[in-house]
Amino acid sequence: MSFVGFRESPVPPGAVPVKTFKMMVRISAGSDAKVETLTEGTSLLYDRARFASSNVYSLSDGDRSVRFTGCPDQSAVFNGAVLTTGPRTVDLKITVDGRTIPVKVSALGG
Amino acid sequence: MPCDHYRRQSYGGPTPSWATHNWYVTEDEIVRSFSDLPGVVTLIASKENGAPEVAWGDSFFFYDPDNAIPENRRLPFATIVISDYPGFDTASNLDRPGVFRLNLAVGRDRFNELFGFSSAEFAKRSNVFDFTALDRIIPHPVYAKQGWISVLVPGAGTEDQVRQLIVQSYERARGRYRPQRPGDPDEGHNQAANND
Repeated sequence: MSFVGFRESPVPPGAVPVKTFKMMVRISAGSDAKVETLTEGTSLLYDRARFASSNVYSLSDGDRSVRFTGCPDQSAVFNGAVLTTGPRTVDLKITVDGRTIPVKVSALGG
Repeated sequence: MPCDHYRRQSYGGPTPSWATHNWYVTEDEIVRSFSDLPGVVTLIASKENGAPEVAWGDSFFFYDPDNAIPENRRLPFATIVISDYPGFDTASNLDRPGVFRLNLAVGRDRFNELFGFSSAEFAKRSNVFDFTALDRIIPHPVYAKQGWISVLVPGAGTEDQVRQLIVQSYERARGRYRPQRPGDPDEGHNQAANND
């Protein structure tokens, strides 16, 4: 499983509840992993039904944890984001096959 | 999140708030479309292959049937870009969650057919395009002059046309390819610049 974090995304002017920074997740074929954010004021947005072209979100549009399942025969990419009320670095807990792995991901430029 | 969550699907529930349609094509699906074409080499930029950080995660598609062209000499005929390039290519706001942009070198003639003006006129006509709009064929915000077109998150509105344009860009790259021969005076220059 690999992560790539990006810059905070520009948002419309005015009061915006949260910002986002994109985080691509690639998971190997046949793998299954649960990703949980441990950082207060952040959530994980990977459910496409909640994507908004306006780029305006609230923290509750994301989830505290997301389970990713790779395809049986090939890797899969998940194009989502971290929603954040301020933190630009998130502590993630990855659980794979009963093992827990801590990962820290930062927004580019942060 | 199952592996097919981002694949084309009709939603039984609410339509995604960003889409006027209820399905879309995914990066993975497009990458596989290219990979299925004979002679196509795919490169996904990453730290491991020495790509600059700004390009990590972007995909580049080359026609190189012998896989022999030096990497620094290859010219892609298509790319998938998933984030902005600050100071260079930010018009599409690709840093939005879920957003990516497919870019295709279709050539100046096809560009003219698609938009009704020549790519050379792009600079003075660019203000009529919304480069952040999803599922629309638009000129490439930076490389339009070279005959490149783009679409952000292809979906029901563009899928058929995008599939045709993918094949056209591939055929164009294939037609421009010349096999590498040791000792050629222009060895390594066997793909003409994508600016016919």
